[in-house]
Amino acid sequence: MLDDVKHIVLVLSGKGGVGKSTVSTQLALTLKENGYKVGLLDIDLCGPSVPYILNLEEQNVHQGPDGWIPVYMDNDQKLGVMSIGFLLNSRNDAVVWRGPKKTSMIKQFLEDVCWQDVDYLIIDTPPGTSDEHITVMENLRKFPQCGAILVTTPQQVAIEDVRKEITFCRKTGIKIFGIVENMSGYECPNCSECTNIFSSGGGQSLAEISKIPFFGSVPIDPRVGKLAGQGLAAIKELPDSITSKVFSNLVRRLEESSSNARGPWRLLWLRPPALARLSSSPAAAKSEAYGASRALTIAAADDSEAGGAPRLCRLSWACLSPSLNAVGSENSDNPPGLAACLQPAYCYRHCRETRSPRRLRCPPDARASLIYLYDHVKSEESGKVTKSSPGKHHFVI
Amino acid sequence: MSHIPENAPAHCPGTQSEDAGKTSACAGCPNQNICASGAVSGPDPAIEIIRERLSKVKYKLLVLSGKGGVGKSTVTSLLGHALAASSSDVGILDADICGPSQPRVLGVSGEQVHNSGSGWSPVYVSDNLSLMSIGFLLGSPDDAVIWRGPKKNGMIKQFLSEVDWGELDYLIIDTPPGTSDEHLSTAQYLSKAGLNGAIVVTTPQEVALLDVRKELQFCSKVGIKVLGVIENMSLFICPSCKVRSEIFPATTGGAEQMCSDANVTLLGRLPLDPLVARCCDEGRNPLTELPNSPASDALKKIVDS
Repeated sequence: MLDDVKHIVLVLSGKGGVGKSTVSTQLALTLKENGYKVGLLDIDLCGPSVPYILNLEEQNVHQGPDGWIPVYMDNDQKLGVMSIGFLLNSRNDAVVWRGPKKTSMIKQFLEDVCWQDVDYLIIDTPPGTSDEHITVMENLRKFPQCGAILVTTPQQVAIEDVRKEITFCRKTGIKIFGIVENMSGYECPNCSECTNIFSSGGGQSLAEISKIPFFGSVPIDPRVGKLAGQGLAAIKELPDSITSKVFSNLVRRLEESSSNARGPWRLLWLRPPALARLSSSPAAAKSEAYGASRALTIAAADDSEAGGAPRLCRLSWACLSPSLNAVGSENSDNPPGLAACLQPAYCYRHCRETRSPRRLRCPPDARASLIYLYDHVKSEESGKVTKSSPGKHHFVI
Repeated sequence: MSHIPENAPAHCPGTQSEDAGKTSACAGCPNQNICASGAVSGPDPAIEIIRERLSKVKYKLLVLSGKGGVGKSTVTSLLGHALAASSSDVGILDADICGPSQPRVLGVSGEQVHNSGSGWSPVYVSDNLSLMSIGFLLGSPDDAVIWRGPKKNGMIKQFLSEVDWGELDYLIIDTPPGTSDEHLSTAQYLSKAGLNGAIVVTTPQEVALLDVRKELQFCSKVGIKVLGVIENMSLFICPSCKVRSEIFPATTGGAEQMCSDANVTLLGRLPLDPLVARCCDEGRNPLTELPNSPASDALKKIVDS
């Protein structure tokens, strides 16, 4: 179900009550205001806050043909929300569950909810580094478009727990987009003196020590607190507040980091006409290869018109960087160059030499994709899968 | 509760089940005879051990809250300090496995736990205030405890059964947010030891109250008596102009309304005081450092009641 989701953003914090749910909901609303299609998944099973914050209590989840249909904020279906809060009879019901039950619930949330083609899926988590987190991490490990935002408050007590969360992310290999510091200061409405209730600068220094981008400090603003329960975006209601500036900055940084990110490897199945274009003009190829997709690209040439070589031997590959300049090859560290790589003769020779793409020396992701491609070709040979049914990460141009 | 061991064969009915050792899935399991004999279907032997271990503790209190970051650890430490100041022997057990804050709040981070013949010795903050936390067992503050439920339960069991508290007047147990493994285990293990009750901490906003109501329901489900509710971060008193303002507005009547709805006592309200927060970060005792602060006053009232 998550294959169609372009970006997955986990909102994490070791500490409770630092504003994970507020950050998640405001982030989702800000993304929505920027025209994205957004999904928001609340996996805090023991204390779901998202339905209340977005004013969606009393709503129900429906079962559709493709899975559970999330609760939508409005009729445009730009923001879909899923939370255990929608499944409880009364808002006071406690979910007294041990780990295994929580694990299977989260698995269902991840696998059975029909998010459709959302641009961003925000996942709000409970505090800690336990069952819920392990489960989410295990299920999302196969999605390279996934990363985390850490929320903290400035005090030492909170920073200490967030440091544990950083260790968790590093151990489990989740990319950290950055740190947001919440509840930085409070401006007294009477004398306008800004007090750092929970000290200050903690998030910034944590970011520096652990070499993680710092996304900004959100001050304590009772006006923003009042938006909770109404489901309104700070960026729309309070466009001048610092909060909304931090969030629009956050969205921009997210866009940047996801466009720089090495996204999923794409397999480009190149037919001879496209192949000719690619080898003659890298610039044209760049636009052709899905706007020089942020992903590294594996190009596979099907030169069936080049002669009667066996099908497997017609498989060639090249790893194209986003700029299509560097081309990796399994044979040497000095790539033979794009054009050469895509020459039918080269393809033929190379494949005959190596016989099987399984032996290719390339990054693990690429290897997985190549094996996928290899399997695809094999199944094609055995006639089980037809060429006209490209896989999810497999495009024919 | 069925108690299925982690390495059990598929379809294991669980050691506590009536069918233990008798179903088709049990055939070939090395533990089939033990299960079938009924020896394991009794209550967990640890419960009895814990009862004995804690028999010298007069009052056992849980500090709970459905919501995180409302100040459970702060309230726990303040209570500990306040009770210790009235010359009672106090022990604090930090059951928050994934985010232990007590060592820092009490100013003993970096200390070590020692093992002796009578069990683990807790770390003494002062002569009559001792603390046990997983924070003492970690190599560095960056270390994360990435454990699933059963492992956390085992740790809590060890904390309850193997720590040598000595004679205590009060044992205060600080918990993580939520209503899950840690809470169920603590309640279960203490079922025979005589848990006196729970203190529930909340903040005034509806988002927090929502979760705290769940916690109250949890308490009534598992049969823990709620001694009362403490509302934390009630008001903010500006240090420069002393004017009170509400940072977290109680749009739905705050803890007072919740308490009258749920029929529990509101023990008191603690104002938000940046100086208290700083003391906690540095591990000093806010009650002696700031004897006249409104927070201290409010707390003393709570302790006296």
